[in-house]
Amino acid sequence: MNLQRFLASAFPAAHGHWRWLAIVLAAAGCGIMFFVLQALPGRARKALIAAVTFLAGLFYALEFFWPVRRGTDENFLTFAVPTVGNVINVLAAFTLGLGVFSLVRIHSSKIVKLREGWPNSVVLLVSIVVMAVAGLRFEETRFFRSLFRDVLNSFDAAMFATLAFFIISAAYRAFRVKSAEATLLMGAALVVMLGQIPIGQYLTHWIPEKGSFASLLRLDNISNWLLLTVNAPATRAIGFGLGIGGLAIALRLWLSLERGAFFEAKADES
Amino acid sequence: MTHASDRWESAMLIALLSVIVLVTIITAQRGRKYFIRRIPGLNAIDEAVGRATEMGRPLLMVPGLSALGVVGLQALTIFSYIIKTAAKFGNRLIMPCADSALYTVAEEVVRDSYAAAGKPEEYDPNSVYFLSDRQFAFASGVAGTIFREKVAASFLFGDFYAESLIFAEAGQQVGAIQVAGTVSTTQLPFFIASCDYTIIGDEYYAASAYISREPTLLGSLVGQDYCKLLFLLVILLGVLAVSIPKLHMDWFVQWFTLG
Repeated sequence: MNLQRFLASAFPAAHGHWRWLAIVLAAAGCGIMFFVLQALPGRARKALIAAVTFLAGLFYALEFFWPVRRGTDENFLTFAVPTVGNVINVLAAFTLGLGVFSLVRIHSSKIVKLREGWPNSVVLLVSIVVMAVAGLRFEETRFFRSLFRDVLNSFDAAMFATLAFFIISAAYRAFRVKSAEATLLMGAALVVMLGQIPIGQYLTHWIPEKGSFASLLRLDNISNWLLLTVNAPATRAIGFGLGIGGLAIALRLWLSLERGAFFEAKADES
Repeated sequence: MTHASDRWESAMLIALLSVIVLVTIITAQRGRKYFIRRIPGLNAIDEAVGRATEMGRPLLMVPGLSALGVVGLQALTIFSYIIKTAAKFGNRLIMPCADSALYTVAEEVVRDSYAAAGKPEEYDPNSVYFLSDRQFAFASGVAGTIFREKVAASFLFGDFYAESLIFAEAGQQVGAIQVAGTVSTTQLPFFIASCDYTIIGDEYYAASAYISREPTLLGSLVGQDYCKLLFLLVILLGVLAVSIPKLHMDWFVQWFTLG
């Protein structure tokens, strides 16, 4: 059984005016749910949030731990994973509207009050409208592609390019020899950089690549040793810590043990 | 899809780690006292807020590109503490967001933090805003804010990618005191090079326990340390098993061999 296929057959995609009616009905349904949630007393809301969080977490935990059917990569819950994922996407889509509303509110107020930099706000609001109209009505046209590829992507690339300058100033600060640690860092960085570039590799190319003790002195070998034997284990150790930390916080959220956390505070105040 | 039955050993390890964390949480809730070492990056928060007060310039808090998840919520928990401290001194704050879902929660967190500090009237609805969910549009927006507002302190907590250095260097250029923490290990070197204090690795998840000293969080933190101790033991046993064949611990090495 596939839940998505079942839902698709039970609720066929609406077209034309029916589509708009379906959207309005869905929005109204969500609005009613929102007001019901708001009307609930704090303790009931807290219990409801805890129950929904627990069930959502339990779904994914069970789906992971339950043995799969022989010869397949699925268990009795796998079929519902895309549907549950879609629910999360729908919830996220609602918040996008709030985000755009925030932008429009702040910049409209700036324009109305003629605060410093208000012409920039005008450009921003006009850009939002033009891009939204182009994306919704003229998606397949050269106009939209040009806006997206020639304007937006170029701006992104220009911003990304500034990184090159920032890396130089950050590297300058990091490599200033002020202490024993900074000297060590400077030396290691120099060796790694030389080991990665042709001119650095050329400096010690006369040393045999492997097979003798002298090969350990080749810059590219030292560079690889620093990267794979010194740097990689340190990064993995940080990764272990992060993984365990993530597991612990996920457990606390799943079981609603996160005392003093945002949602608990919200539930207690009402 | 990945399932436990693909590799039962990993699944058992996850279950064991979960039990360790839950047991320490329960013991902490029952009154057992735990000690946490000093984390300089988190102590620096008060210093940064104090400096902003002296300079009369705003505080910037950036949750990076974090979505509404574990990393983003942890960032908001840290920001909540900073806001409560800042509210006492009447500092202005700025919090641009890249994720609309996180923005909605961030707005509530900021409002509630002002209320918790006893200064709900000082909450400025324009202080938290959604900028853009495009990485470099967000980066240019935040960098522009840093330069225009000449922020006194910059707190960078959350998920960061290539834009991390843009934020940190912009902060450096305006002379802001900067505290950063991220789970993105690839961005840590940039933060270390450009920020005054950097919270590394699982210190990021330890922050809420360190700040609040709440027993549940302290218990969880100690549980994490026990888990790391277990990992260390496994690594040591692995080194011995591989280095000394006479121990006949091939089964142990095999247990942790991928593929």
